[in-house]
Amino acid sequence: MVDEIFEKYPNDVKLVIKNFPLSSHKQANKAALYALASERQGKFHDMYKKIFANYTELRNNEDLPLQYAVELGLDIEQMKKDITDPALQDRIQREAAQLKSTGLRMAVPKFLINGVEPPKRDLETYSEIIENILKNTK
Amino acid sequence: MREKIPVKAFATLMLVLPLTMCGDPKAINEQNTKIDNALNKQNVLAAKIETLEKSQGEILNSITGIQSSIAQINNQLKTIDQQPVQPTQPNTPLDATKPLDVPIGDSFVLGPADARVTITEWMDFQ
Repeated sequence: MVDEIFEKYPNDVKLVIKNFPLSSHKQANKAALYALASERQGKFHDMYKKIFANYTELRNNEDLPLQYAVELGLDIEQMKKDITDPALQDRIQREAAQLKSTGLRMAVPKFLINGVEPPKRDLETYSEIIENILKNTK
Repeated sequence: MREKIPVKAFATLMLVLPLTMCGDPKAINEQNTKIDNALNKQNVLAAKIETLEKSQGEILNSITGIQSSIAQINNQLKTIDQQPVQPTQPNTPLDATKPLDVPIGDSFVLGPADARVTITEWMDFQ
């Protein structure tokens, strides 16, 4: 749905992606580390999309993102090194702490549009909210 | 006042005297042994009674301590009862229309930096 929003409002919308790996999802944190390591090589969003497209396979192989990294032409050795960098884990924890501090129910995915949680997650609701914002901030 | 004859001495006398009169040294020794055994048992019993009395004292001290604690708790409860009850504040419901301030920080951003609409997404890969 976010892709459709970008198609509809290419100049007026930006997406901020924050990690909130659930502890009940064993491979989620490592996948988040791989995504952030890919960002260091300029491919966060590509990695993000690839992991999401095949997330069920992470259960069988938590290092599957390395295969995607090969497909994306990333430096694998650098990536293996980067995922052990405490700065990346620290960033994941800071991003997760931001959701905790909002007081909102900690369920993911969680979306805010200009700081407000939409009542529903569908294109129509999002479009209505976005158009209201655009109308009032001209 | 008449002087009391010690029990041990009296018992010994009563047992030994007839035997002495009989003049049988073996019988006298047997009786002496019995007397010694009886006295030993008496000493053991006395020691046990002393121990029990000591334990009883400790138990009584504990009971006194517990009673004192209960009295203190009762006093505290009375003090609490006398305090005016503060009405509890209901949890302020989160105002869904009030925008939350979530800094972008160093998070990944897709789209134009000056976009008027910011969608913030928290996600996990599962």
